[in-house]
Amino acid sequence: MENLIEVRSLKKSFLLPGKRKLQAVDGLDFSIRRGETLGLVGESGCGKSTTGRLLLRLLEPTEGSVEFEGMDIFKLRSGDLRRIRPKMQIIFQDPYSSLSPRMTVGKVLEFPLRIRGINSKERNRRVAELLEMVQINPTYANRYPHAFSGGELQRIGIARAMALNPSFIVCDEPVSSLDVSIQSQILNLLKDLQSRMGLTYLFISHNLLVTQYMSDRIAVLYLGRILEIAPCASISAAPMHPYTQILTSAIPVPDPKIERAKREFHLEGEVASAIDPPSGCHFHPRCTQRKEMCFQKSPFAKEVEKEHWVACHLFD
Amino acid sequence: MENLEILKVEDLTVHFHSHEGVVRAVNGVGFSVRPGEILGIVGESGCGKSTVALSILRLLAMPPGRIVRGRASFQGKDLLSMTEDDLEEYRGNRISMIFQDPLTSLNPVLTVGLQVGEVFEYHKKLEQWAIRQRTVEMLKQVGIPSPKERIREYPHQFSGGMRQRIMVAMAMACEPDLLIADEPTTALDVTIQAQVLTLMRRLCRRLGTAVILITHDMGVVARMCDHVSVMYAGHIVEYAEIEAIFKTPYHPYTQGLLRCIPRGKSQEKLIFIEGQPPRLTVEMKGCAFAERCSLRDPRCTEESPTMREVSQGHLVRCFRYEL
Repeated sequence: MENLIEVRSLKKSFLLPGKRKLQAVDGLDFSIRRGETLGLVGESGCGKSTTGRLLLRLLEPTEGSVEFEGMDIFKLRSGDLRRIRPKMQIIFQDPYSSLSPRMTVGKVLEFPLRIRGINSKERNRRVAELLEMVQINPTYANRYPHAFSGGELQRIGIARAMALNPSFIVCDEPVSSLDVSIQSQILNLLKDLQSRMGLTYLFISHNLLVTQYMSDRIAVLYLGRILEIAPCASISAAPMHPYTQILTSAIPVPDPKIERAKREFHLEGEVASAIDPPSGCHFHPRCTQRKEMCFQKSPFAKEVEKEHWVACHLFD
Repeated sequence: MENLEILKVEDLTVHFHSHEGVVRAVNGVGFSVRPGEILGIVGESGCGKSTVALSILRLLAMPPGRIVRGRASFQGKDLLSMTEDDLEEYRGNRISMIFQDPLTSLNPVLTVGLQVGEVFEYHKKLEQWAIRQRTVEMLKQVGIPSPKERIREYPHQFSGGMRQRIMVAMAMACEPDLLIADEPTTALDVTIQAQVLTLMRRLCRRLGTAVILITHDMGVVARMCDHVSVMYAGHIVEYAEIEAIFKTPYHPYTQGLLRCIPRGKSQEKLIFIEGQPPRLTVEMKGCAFAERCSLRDPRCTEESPTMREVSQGHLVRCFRYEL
């Protein structure tokens, strides 16, 4: 399958007061194929959202490149960039704060169309079509966000992302603020739209169960680096990196038989800070299988099984 | 058997008075906890689970909240009707509480040593040197590295996981008989959540502390609890042993809730529960879940079902299980 997105040596650091540097993204190399969902999982502060924003050029990188349909989006000038922007969209985590309370949902959905110079008759038709697409009554277009529930608002957020017929959508924790009985509806909708429109997703989540359900491949991020990237089935059945193994077992699953064994869960330490990350492999301070080498040298990703890449010295 | 319970809540009903009218947040909730037991109260946002927790210790802001009726007997004494002075003997001492967000629950301008130590000063009336010693000991028990030095630090100098450990230390300082934990790990990352859950479970088991664990996460319930009550729109709709609730859930809501949770890569569509929880500002007629229930019949919207025992120790509020 052809790659829609190619990410090469992507780095992003933020300068903090006192000349300190926060290395949010620390050298990412991966690609996203046309029509697939790549899941990006990791704990808070690992650089998931920064990665999502870099891929849409909502942030400028410190180093590296992102190619979208063969074009390096960081080299594009404003005119060219504007031409491809409609194809790259984002869905945010919190539907309450990502929709303006002072705009009717019709206005929200119409806005991107207006910027593209589409006439008002066509805009109205499209707004109704978009609302129908996300299973919201089109006559509600003149209502304000406060009149909708969280699940409905998130569907409106999805409709907004769909307004200009994108080919790629960054889903940044799209169900994390929703109750489980509502979240499954959003996940179904995202899958449905993907198969109907041939969309490509970067699905960012801290919830491994949700990511496994949604993704074709999963990348595990830790302090700005990918520790493991593999097809979903392979990484779920047999996670290889010690961190992925810990992450997998830490997640509470709704089955008391499995969970009873985890009651004495043991993992040392916490995620280190991206301001002054550990030397060598970023995970070594928490790793029970660390070796001498892990302190000094950062491991390269190796293809341990077909398409299953692991960055860990255990696999050297 | 009856007097074995450490806490027995009966017919707890709590209303909030808002400008949109009376919100019936908790409607006749009852449950009991035995010494050393971990009871889960599980439900989605707005189902009233936190209100139950706050009402037991009368920490609810009143107004707008109002405990309309009910009893909460702790070792035979009703917490809801005793004087504030009497309640102080229990609150933070025999019964303690952990909240979701450790940052807003800790005072930012006091050192953590002072905040944990306050518990010993207030409830145990210890001398300064003893307070210091017990505080260091307590922080060590919850896994704070170099506690002797760190008692002089402020909450912002600790990570989220460490702050929640400090909350656990405060809650467990007086070796309480009952701990009420309201979404104690929801704000934490999964690996840190696993650490804090292990810590809570270990401490409570060792001290014989009973726990009411309030959560929205069925996975956390599966890991931690002995029994579980499922709440929906201010009612408890099902109560069972942990194994039974996952193996044979009776209530359509519980069944739906469990089937909503994605498990691994799948082409299959997820089940979801149509609609939304009912507005609690209108007086409810019939079963609270009827509107969203795929199995409802005309009776469900007319009459309210009561809790009945369908199999040994497994209770459900649903007409489908009436004889």
